[in-house]
Amino acid sequence: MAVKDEVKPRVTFAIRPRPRVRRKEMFKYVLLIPMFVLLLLLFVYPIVYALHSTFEGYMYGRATGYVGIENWSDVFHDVSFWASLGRTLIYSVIAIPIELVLSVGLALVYSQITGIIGGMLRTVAILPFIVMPLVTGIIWKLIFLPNFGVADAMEVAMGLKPVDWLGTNKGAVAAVIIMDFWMWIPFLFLIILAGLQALPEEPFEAALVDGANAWQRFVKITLPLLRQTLMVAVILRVIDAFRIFDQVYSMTGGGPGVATQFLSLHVADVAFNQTDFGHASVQLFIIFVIMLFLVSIFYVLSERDAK
Amino acid sequence: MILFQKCIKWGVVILFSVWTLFPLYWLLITSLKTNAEVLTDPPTFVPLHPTFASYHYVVDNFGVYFVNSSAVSVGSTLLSLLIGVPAAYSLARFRFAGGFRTVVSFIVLSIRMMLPIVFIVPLFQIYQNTGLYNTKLGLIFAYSLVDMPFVVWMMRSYLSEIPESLDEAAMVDGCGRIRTMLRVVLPLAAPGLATTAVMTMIFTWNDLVFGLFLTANSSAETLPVSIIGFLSQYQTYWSQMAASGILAILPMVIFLLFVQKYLVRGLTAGAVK
Repeated sequence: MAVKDEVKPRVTFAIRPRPRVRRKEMFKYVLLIPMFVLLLLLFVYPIVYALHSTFEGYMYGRATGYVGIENWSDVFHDVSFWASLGRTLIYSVIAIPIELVLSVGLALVYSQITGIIGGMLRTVAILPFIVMPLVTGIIWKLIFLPNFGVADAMEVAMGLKPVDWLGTNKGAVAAVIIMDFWMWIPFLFLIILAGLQALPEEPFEAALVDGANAWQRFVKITLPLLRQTLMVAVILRVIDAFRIFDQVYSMTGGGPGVATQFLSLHVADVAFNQTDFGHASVQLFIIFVIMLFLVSIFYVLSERDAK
Repeated sequence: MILFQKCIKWGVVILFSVWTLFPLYWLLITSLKTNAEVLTDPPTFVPLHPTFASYHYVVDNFGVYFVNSSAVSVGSTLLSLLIGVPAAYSLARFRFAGGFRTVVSFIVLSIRMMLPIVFIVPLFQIYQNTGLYNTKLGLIFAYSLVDMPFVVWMMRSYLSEIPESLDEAAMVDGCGRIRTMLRVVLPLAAPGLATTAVMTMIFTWNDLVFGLFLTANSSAETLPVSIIGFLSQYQTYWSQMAASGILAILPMVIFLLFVQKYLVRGLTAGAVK
């Protein structure tokens, strides 16, 4: 541009605004450069590295050379990987609907309580959400400990035969789901409560005038108006269900056997216990695609809301 | 009938509060028991001989992990703000050709919501080769990969709510682009900025998984990784583990009180305001 100015000094005056426009154009990209550098180093490079790893054989964590698509075909026939995906799905399908129903009920109750007491109760209700997930796992491990735990003591007090929560497959999955209720109902509850409080009042007043009862008002007005909030809450919850790691790692470690080995735990096991980075990398790409699909649902929902 | 409804309402509230608080109470009393008392059958619901011995043990031996965790969370939060805020400003304020903004926003969001293990496996190998493995700096970089997208996504939403007429007014008064951003727009977004920073801190402080696989010893191990150590190595040190859990939770509870009002927006990545 400077060269241009020197060559045609006569028109310098006329084109003077142009460099300023260009600088404004440049400015918006300059602001993005640091982010792109970070993403290049910590996102693009690792992903390319992982893609390369999928074609490498590994022995004791060291690459042993090109193996073609062997890792890919292995993983597609690897029952243990698909089983961990299946476990994640089953746990989501059981836990999330129950959490959703309970959260809507709780939000309806809590929305009627206002003032200082309401505020304090809400703070108490969302406490589990900021507890370090790993500590949550430890707490529930303590509660479900055989003989020494609270669950055991309560079962004995009620005259029941104590359940071996952490020692059996079904018991461990149930224990993880109960812990999940404690951890995630506050999250759903909080979102739904915020949604409830943002609802307009007119439709409810009109319905009262028309003589609709509480149940009719809930089904015909509250739920349809909350649809967007509920969909956002559910998709975020599904995404987080796929991410589950910390609390299960500290509570069951994936056990007994592999009963609670969800996606992240399985990949971590393949990569860091079996030190098989080739197969782990293939699994990463499969998970990557699944997550892109889930995130795009959330993206469409949240952008639609913004408009 | 109304009385009956009230009973149900308060019954639900009390039941839910007990359900929420009891596990935390259990953690607290476990930390005050001796290890022998933790393992009594049936368990005691009030410690017979409350003692702070476990807290002394944790404070004396685990200070280094608190320092590591603080350094990593503060470092990563600062780096993410430094990089993420200008990017968010650009995405919120300027027009881009075609689907550029959509593509960038989607990539950023996807990174935030991806399973951390997806990045950890290649990062582990890269860190082994570059000497970043088991360093606080390496951990700060790794966390900024997931923290920075959160900052971008949140700040984009906050900044787009500040009317652009303010920018124009500032520019008419002779402010340059950078001065407009730093002196006019960002101060107005200060509450959003503070909330975003605190939430980034909470997420990073609470996270186990990056620290677990990218560190090896006390020179970089974070607090959650050290707490996990009680489980595998010292199978029976329940009381000390509970005490370190309580100490790990406390700072975040204080943070919660600051950001509670804005929590929903942070947790839903701005989708619910």
